[in-house]
Amino acid sequence: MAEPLLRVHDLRTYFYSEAGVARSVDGVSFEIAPGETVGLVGESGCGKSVTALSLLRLIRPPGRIEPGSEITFDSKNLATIDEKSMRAIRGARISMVFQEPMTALNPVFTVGDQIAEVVRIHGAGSKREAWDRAVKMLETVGIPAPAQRANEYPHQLSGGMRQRVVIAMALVMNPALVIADEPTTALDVTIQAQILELLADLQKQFGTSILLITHDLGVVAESVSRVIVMYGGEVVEEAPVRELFAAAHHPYTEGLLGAMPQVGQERERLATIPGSVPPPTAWPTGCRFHDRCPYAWDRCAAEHPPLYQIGGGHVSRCHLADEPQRRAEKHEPLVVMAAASGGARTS
Amino acid sequence: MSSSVRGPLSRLFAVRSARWAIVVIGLLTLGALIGWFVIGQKANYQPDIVGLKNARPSLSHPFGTDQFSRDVFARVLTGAAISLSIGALAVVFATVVGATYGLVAGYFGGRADTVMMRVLDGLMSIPRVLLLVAVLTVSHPGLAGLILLLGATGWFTVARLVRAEVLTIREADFIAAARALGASSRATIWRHLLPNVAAPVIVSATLGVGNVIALEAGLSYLGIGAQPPTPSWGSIFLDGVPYGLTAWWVLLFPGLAIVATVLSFNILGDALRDVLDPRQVHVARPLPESAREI
Repeated sequence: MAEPLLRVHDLRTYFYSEAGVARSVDGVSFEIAPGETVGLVGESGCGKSVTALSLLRLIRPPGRIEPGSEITFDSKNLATIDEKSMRAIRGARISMVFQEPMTALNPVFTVGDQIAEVVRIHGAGSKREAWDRAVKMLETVGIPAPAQRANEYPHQLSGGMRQRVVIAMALVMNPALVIADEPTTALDVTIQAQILELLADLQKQFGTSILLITHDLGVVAESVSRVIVMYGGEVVEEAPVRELFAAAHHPYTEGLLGAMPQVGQERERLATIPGSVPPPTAWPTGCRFHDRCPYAWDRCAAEHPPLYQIGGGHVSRCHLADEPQRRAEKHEPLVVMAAASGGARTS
Repeated sequence: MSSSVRGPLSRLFAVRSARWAIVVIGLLTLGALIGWFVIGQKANYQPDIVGLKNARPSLSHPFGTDQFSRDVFARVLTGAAISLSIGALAVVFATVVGATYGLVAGYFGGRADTVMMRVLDGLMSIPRVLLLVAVLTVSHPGLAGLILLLGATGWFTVARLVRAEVLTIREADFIAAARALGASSRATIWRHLLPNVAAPVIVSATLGVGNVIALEAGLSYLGIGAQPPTPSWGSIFLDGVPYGLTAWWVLLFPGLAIVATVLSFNILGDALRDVLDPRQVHVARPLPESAREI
């Protein structure tokens, strides 16, 4: 890989609550190359969004980025630079597209105002120039009659148009990296496709890198080149997108893929991964996925797996890499057995 | 395009009761201006303390005269200036203090919020009327002092209201988005928080004006509000009480003025609440033609 645009090394973001220390992001490392689109995938509660907010250093007390975490960007460590320098990076060099276009726009200002504000914050032009840039950006993101639309309020736009406005706000300063946190989750499927296409177009046009956060592997399949799978605040697998779909290694990734609906597949019910993500205050010992894993054996509960190299650019945090013959011994995961025995006791 | 969407003001005028309230408040304001600039000190003029004492309403004295032969109409107009400005200024003062307090507590949260809210709980536990009566009986702070006192004891509920609103809006995605795009704390508060808490604050301030005017009338009636011969509605009313059974007009007209004002501000406040409530906007507002799906 060429010199990466962003290099995250051992990022740890902990929240200190009365219930204990929530290790929401716990030693995450990855890189993003210039112009690359990377997918960050996982269930709710596995640390995707906290990772994204950490990159922009938007973690608020009682949360904090632990000392020793490195977020190298523009040859600076974003984990430690002062707030003023960080503000200059937010929106200008790294920006973010939020999930809910309904709530990501301020209801009391026109959309033109809100895009122009980003330009003004970064001191990139007069009021007039900022407005012109906002209108131009609205046109770029495919909003018809942008000069008129700029004068409208968010509630006057449809969901799809609002998300385009949110994207316009994120891109107006031509940032090097855009973090898109579930940008299509709140939209209709047809609009989803349009928005993904728009992101891909804009990326080609501006050479922006995109970190696409999603729980939807379908979205990942059509828009990214590399996928990072997170579970329990850790990276559990990372692979080029084709390889991931063809030969996922980690049982969690396997489970996610199995839970995807597929055209032409006759199945009465979708497969699920049993159980749910444990609370970040109490990750299981050993492999954090072992209680939900259909292959887990005693080693998994005892020994925390490292990231094993599987192939070129493909790593997996699973002991199966060490003992591949275990893959033949599929069984019910621990959570299912616990639930079954618990049920037997009560009846 | 956007001309088809009506703003809150025109929607306010569409409510009949609100229209009446605005007309009444407009007339009272006009009367207050006349009372202040045209009548002024003449409200205390005593033309004939024997012949015109407690004279019935007539063409030359439409509201009659009081026990000192002063024209009640002139006094009610000048009283409008006094009472309305006490109401307005005290509420502005209370709203600025309360909104700032609530904004700071809500936005920064954490320990600052806890301490500020406990202090507020303490202040709210002091009975307002008793405090006012005690302070005003011991000292006569004048009109400016009265306004400050009414304001200083009237901001607690605004502070709570604003804090509660800020706590909700602070978590909104557009606040996070503003920060993610590089806005400073100050810019976030000014541009994103404040405009979004404005609606409930305007409503509470409008209701507050009526409330303060009624309170001031009560204090003046107790003889500790506006001091004689300054005519506030409460003090005119007080002047009429000894002759209340015969010279009913001295009680009736300032009383009507108080009721009309308080009622108008309450109606206007309720109408503003309906009009400014964003949840009602979607219902009341027809979808503009331009809102077609892309």
